[in-house]
Amino acid sequence: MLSSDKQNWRPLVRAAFVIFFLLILFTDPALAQSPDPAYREFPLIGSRVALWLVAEVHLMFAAFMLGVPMFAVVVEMVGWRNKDARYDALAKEFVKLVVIAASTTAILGALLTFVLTVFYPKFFNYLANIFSPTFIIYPILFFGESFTLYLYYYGWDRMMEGAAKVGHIIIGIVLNIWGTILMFVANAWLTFAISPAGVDDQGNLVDLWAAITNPTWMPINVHRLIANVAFGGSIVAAYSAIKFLNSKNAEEKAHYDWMGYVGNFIAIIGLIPLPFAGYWLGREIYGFNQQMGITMMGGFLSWLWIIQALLIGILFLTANYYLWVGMGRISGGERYRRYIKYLAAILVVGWIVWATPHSIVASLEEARKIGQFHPLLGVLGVMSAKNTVVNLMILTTFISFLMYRRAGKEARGGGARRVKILQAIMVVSAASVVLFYGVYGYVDIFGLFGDPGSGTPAIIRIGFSVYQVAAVLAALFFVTLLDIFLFRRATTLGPMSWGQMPERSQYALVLLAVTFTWLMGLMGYARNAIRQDWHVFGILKDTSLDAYSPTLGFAAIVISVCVILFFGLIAFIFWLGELGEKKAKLTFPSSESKPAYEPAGSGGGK
Amino acid sequence: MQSIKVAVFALSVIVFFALFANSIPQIESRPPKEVALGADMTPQQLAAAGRQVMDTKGGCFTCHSIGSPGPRAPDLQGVGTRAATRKPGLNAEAYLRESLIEPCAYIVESYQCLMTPMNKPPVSLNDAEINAVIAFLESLGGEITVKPIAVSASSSSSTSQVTDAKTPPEILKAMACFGCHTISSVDFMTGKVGPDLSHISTVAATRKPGLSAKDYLRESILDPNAFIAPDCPDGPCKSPSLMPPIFGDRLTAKQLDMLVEFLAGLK
Ligand code: HEC
Ligand code: HEC
Repeated sequence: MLSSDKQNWRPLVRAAFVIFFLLILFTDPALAQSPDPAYREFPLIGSRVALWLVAEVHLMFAAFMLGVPMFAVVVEMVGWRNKDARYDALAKEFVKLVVIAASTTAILGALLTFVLTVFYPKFFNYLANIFSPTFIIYPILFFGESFTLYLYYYGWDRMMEGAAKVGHIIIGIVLNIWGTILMFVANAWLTFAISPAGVDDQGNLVDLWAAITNPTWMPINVHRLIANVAFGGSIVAAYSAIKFLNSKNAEEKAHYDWMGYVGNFIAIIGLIPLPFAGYWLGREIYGFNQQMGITMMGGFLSWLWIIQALLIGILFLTANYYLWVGMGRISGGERYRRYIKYLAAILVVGWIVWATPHSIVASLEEARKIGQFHPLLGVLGVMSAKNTVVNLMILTTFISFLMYRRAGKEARGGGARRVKILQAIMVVSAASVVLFYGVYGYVDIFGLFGDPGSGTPAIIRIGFSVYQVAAVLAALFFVTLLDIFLFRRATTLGPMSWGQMPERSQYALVLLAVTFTWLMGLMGYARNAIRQDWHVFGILKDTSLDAYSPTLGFAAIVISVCVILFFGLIAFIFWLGELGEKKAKLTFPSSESKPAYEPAGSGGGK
Repeated sequence: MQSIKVAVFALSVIVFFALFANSIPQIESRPPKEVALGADMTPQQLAAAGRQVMDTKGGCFTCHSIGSPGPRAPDLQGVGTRAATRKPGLNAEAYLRESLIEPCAYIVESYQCLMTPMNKPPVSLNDAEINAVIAFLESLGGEITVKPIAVSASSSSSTSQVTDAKTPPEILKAMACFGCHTISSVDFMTGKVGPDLSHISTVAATRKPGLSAKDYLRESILDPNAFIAPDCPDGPCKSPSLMPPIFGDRLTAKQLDMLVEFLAGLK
C-alpha cells in the first residue's frame, strides 16, 4: 500500500508513459517500417534468447495480473454475501499484489515490442500488417485495464457499503472483462503464427476475423484463462508461505496460513481442468496439420512430455501433500490419516505410468531400439493409459480435498450415513468407468468390435477418453453438491488452529509455485517449437541463424533463467511495495466465529 | 533468514529441473537441407535425389516407412507397381503425382486422409523435387518414367545459383554433398549413397593412371561418370554414377579449388 494519497496516482502516470512509448514504437516509421534487414543481431546472447527471455517473463507477469483479479472478485463477493469482512480484506490484499506488479508487466510488454520491432522487423511488420486494427485497439484496452485496476484498488475503502459495494464488485468484474479481451487479442497474434488462417497462399490477408479465430485461438484462450487462475493462486500461496515463515507472532502466522490455504485451493481448482483443456488444444493442432501434431507428440519434441509429466506429477503430489499436512491443524483430522498412504500410492503409480514414454520415435535408431512401445511397460506407455491415470489422479486429489473438508466435522442426522454411501458409490463408479475404458482401450474384452480379446480400433478408442472425463466431472460435481448439503449443519469436533502448520508445508507451497512457473515456461517453448523453422507456420519462413529449434536441455536452461528472473523481480517489487506500508490489521477466520470449520476457501471457490 | 532459505530451496528446485531436462536425449530440429537437382540427371540419379528429398524436406518418414507397415500411413514398398492399378485411367506416374499434390483424391483403404499437398506450404516441394520423389517412388517396384526438370530460377529454394560459401565445410553444406558422402572429420557429412570420403586422398592418386590425386578429385566432382569408384556403402558403385554432373555449374573456380585442396588433405 502506498502511504500518501499523492503517491496513489504514480502507477497511473507510469502506465501512461508506457502506453506513450508503445504508441511511439508502433508509429515510428524508422523502427516499424525499416525496409532493410529481416533480422538484427542482439549482442552477446543473440536475438532469439533475448526475445525469449523478455517474452516469457512478460507472459508470467501478465498471467499473474490476469489470474489474480479473477479470483479476487469471487473472494470479495463471498465476503459480501456472507457479510464477512475477512474475505473482503483478503480480496483487497490479493489485488494489492496485482497493483504492485502492474507497472513491471507494462514495462516488460513495451520491452517485448521493442525487441520484436528492432530485432525481428520483418516478422513484426508482417504481423502488424495482418493485425493492424487490433494493434490500435490494444493500447486502448490496456489503458482501460490499468485504469480500472487502480479504480478498483484505490476505491476499495470508499466503496464499502450498500450500493457502493455492488458498484465496486461491478468494477472488479469489468476489470476482468478488460483483462480477458486483452488476452484474447494477444492470443490472436501468437496463435496465428502457429495455425494461420484467413490468408491466401502468399500470406496476404483475406479475412481478419478468420485470422483472429484461427484453429488454435479458442483452445489457447481457454487453456490460458484456467492456467492463469491456477498460476495466480500458486504465486499468492507462495507469497503467503514466505510471509508465514517470516511471521513474528501467532496472529500473523494464522493470517498467512489461511491466505496460503486459499491460494493453494484456487491453484488446485485451476489445475484439475487443465489436462482436459490441454487435450482439446492438442486435438486442434492435429486437426490443423497432422505433421505438426506428430512433430509435437512423436517427433523431436516427444521427450518434452516426459519433463511435463515430471512437473505435473510434482504438482499433484505436492498439492495433496499440503492438504494431508493441513489435516494436522484440524481436530478430528486424525480419523483420516490412515487413508493417506493409499492415496499416495495411487498418485505415485499414476505418475509413473504417465511418465512412461509412448512411441517416442525421436530418431530412427531410437525407434529400432525401443520399438513402438516402451520396452518394460509396453502398452502402459500409450495414450489411453495416460488418460486413465490422469483421471484417477484427479479423483484422488478430490478425495484428499474431501477428507480435508470433513476433517473437523461430523455430519448429523439419520440420512448422513446414506448420503455418504451414495457419495462413495459415485466416486467408485467414476473410477470404475475410467478403469474400464482404460483397459478397453487395449483389449476388446467382450468382442464388441471384432474378436474378443483383440485390439480395439483406434478411432473408437479415442472416443473413450470422453466417457472417462464425463464420469470424473460428473462425480466431482454431484459429490460436492451432496457434501455441501450434508455438512450444512454439521457438528464440529474441535477448534481449527490456523497458523499451526509445520514449516515444511510452506515449502510445499513454494515448490508448487516454482514448478508451476517452470511448467508454464516449458509449455511456452513447446508452443513455439512446433512451428520449427517458420515464424508463421507455412507462410513466413525463419531464415535467421536461429532457424533451428534448440535442444530441450538448452531450452530448459533458458526457461530456468526466466523463472529465476520472474521470482527475483516479483520478490523485489513486493518488497519495495511493502517498504512504505503501515501495519495493517491482519485477519483470519478465528475459531470462535460462526462458520468455524468451513475451510476458508471451500466456500470461496464454488 | 527464512527468505534466504526459501530462495535457496527454490533455486535448487529450478536447477534440478534444468539438470533433468539435460539428462534426457537431446535433439535439435534443423531446417531441411536443399537437395541438388539438375535437368541432366539420369533416372537413377533422380531417384537417389528423390529419396533424399523424402528424407529431408519432404518429411515423408514421419508417417511412411519402406518395407514395414507403419501405423499412420501405407508401406511404400512396391508402390511403383501398384500405382498403375490404383485408379482406372491413371498410369503410375500420374497416380503418384496425384497422391503428392492432391493426396486425398484417392484414399488408400483402411487409412485416413492425413497427408497435406506436398507442393503447398509447409512442405512446399518445387516441381523438380516432386519429379525426383516420383522417380524414387516409381523405382520401388516399377520403372522410372518421370523426367528430371531444372529448378526454375524464380523459385526461392533454387540451388542453381552459385552460393557464397567461403570455407570447404560451407561448400560441402551448400552443395549438399552430405546427402551422399561421409567425412568423419566433418560432423554433418554422414551420407551413405556414395563412397566414404574420410580418407579419400590415400586412394585418389591411384584411381586413374596418369592423374594426380588433385586432378582425379577435380574430375570426379566435375564429371562423375569419367570414372566410377569401386566401392559404395551398399556394394559396388552403380554405373552410370548416381552423383549428378551438375557441380561444374554451381561451384565458382575458387570454390572448386578449395574443395579439391580440402579433399586432398583427407588422409
Ligand atoms: C502426415 C502423415 C504423412 C506424411 C508426412 C506423408 N504421407 Fe503419404 N500418405 C499418408 C497417408 C495416411 C496415406 C494413405 C491415405 C491416402 O491415400 O491419402 C498416404 C498415401 C501416400 C501414397 C499413396 C500410397 C498408395 O499405396 O497408393 C503415396 C505415394 C505417398 N503417400 C507418398 C508420400 C510422400 C512421397 C511423402 C513425402 C513427400 C508423404 N507421402 C508424406 C500420410 C502421410
Ligand atoms: C546424389 C548423391 C551424390 C552427391 C550429392 C554427391 N556425390 Fe560424390 N559420389 C556419389 C557416388 C554414387 C559416387 C561413386 C560413383 C562415382 O565415382 O561417380 C561418388 C563419388 C565421388 C568421389 C570419388 C570417390 C572415390 O572414391 O573415387 C568424390 C571425390 C566425390 N563423389 C565428391 C563429391 C563432392 C565434393 C560432392 C559435393 C559437391 C558430391 N560428391 C556430391 C554420389 C554423390
